[in-house]
Amino acid sequence: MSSKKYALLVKDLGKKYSIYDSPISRLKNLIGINLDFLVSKRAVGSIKKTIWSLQDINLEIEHGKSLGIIGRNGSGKSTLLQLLCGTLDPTTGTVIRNGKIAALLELGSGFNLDFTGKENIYINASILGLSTSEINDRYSKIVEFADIGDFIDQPARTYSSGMVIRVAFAVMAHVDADILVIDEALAVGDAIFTQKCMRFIREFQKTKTIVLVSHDISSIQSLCSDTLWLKNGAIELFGDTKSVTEAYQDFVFKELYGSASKNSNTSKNKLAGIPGTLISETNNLSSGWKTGLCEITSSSLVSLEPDQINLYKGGETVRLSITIRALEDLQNPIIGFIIKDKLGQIIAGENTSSSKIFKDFALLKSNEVTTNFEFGLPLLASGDYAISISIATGNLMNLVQHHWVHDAHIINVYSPIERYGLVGLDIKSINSNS
Amino acid sequence: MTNKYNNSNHKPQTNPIELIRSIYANRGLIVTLSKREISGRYKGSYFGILWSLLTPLIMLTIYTLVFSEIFKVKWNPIESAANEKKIQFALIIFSGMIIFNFFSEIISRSTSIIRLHTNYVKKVIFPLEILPIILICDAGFHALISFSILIIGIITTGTLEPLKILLLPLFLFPYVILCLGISFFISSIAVYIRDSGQAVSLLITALMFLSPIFYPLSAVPKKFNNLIALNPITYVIEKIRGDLFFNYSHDIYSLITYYLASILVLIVGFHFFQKTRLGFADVL
Repeated sequence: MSSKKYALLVKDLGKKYSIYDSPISRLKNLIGINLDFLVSKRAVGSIKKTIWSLQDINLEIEHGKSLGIIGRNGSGKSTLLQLLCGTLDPTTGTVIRNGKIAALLELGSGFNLDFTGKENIYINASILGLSTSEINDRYSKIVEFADIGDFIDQPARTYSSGMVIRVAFAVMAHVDADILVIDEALAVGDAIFTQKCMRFIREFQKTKTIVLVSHDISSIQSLCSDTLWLKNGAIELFGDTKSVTEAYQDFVFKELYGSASKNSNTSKNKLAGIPGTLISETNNLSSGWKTGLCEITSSSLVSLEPDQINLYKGGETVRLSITIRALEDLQNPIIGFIIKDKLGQIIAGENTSSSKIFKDFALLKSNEVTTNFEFGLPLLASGDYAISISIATGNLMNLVQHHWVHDAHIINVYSPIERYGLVGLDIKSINSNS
Repeated sequence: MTNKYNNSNHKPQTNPIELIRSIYANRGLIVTLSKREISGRYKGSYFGILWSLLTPLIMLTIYTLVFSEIFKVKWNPIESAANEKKIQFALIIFSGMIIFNFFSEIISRSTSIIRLHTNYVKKVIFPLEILPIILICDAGFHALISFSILIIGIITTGTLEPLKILLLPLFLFPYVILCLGISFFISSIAVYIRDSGQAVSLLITALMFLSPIFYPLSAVPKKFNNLIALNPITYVIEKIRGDLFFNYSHDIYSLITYYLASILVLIVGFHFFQKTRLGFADVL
């Protein structure tokens, strides 16, 4: 059979949800009888409305390839995963799976909390197709992987959520699955266990197939060979991870900045000499606060490296421009920015108070001034970062913020090499003397 | 088995062969979950599994007391009182109770079995069709203990040809098939209709008095005979008693009818279950 070379073969897959008046209407619909006309006039109308949450999905995933699925909330990612696993029944189309599929949709969700860890291991492993003797052989390995000590003989309801996840993942890792489906589950668990899982996954995907749903573009980029971008229940783009994630990033920028795409056209004209420049402008100046003394009218972030598209890798020279307008006469303004990571931790920041440019400077009412910061972007670890900008007056002891813009720019950093901690080091050389 | 994972078609098979295949493929799971179900019931209690023995014994004592001491009922009014021992009366009632309890336990628990395992419906790929089978195994285990007590009781108080014990499975097998079929139907319909639990518990109480448990079928007025024969547990109670106590001769045609009817109920019940399970995830 030619389809054998594919781990997953999806044809014309669609899922329609029908909203029924009552569970009984649904039952009638399922068994194919409708007796409503006997009882009342409302024979038609047991189905109130239908929603296609997924439509026209066609996928071919070869053995050994790994599929990432991205898309905004509600785009149908989880529905697709459930259809791939078989917990949901498709309305149209087929899913062919060549191999045993193990899902980590919600880690530990197949657990019965009244049962002990040991009983849950036996039950979960049997659900995943192991015979009792096979489980007996692997039991000690599973327990060793889970590493939760004597808790294994306690009811699962006494477990912390981390322990449930450890046991669940340990089972998944020992059932000889051919396809592993993971839904944002990797972020949980402590660092040591996460490392153990990642080691397992990297080994696993050498020969077998992983399907991963994540909002974390960098983990998709590091784990998946192909990526599917879902938008409103349909395939927006499907192809190699690099091109799809880049297109997705473009889309996210446009969504974030709305009409800013118009602005970036004008600024691209200004920068016509540097084709393929990474640029982000913001008109999204509404989140934050203003005092009414002055305001930030525009801001842009431009990479000064040639031929850089979509992704920062850290270390490149960038220019952050902030234009302010005085609504009243303004004395000695201080313009600054901070770079925050996904958790809101401030990584770095700078302002004009350290420089001489605004010393004894007055900006008359209705006048504008643009400040350019040119700096080397820190060697950030892969992930999303936000830049907040502000205009203030006073001195650093007694600062009055006049206009603060949260997350004026969102940048995505994808480092080709692993960086430890918040920022990488700019290593000049590594020597050894013996 | 070769096709186990390559299921391009999600629609559950509704034919009875699929049921047999599933029982075979999931035998390990059925054993694990049934064991757990049996031992889990009394887990943490002082007497533990002894309760499975104590409960029928105590019930037996109560029935003996109420019916032969207070009501002074005789099983067979024609026979002289001297021929009928109190203990035999109790054992006759006990045999009926075993059959009835098996039925009532399976049916009443069927109303909640899917709801109690929502995880298995929505979160993992679980062979839901084995849940009623686990109910059967659990109830069957307790029925077996009770039957052992019954047979020990009959042997110690009277005589029993060993051959007759061998006949028991002949009557019990179609009964198990019948209960499984009803269980498939009830467990599915209870997911959609929440009132099922109430209706079923009422029905079970009614059945307890409408079945020939506390009285012989011969005591029922002739005009109700057809009605009471429709009761699914009447036949098997009468046959078991006829076999163990009264040396009735067995009529092969009614037995064949009972087999055919039971198998039909199972086929229809399983078909209904498989047809309707697709909607479980949407309702739960």
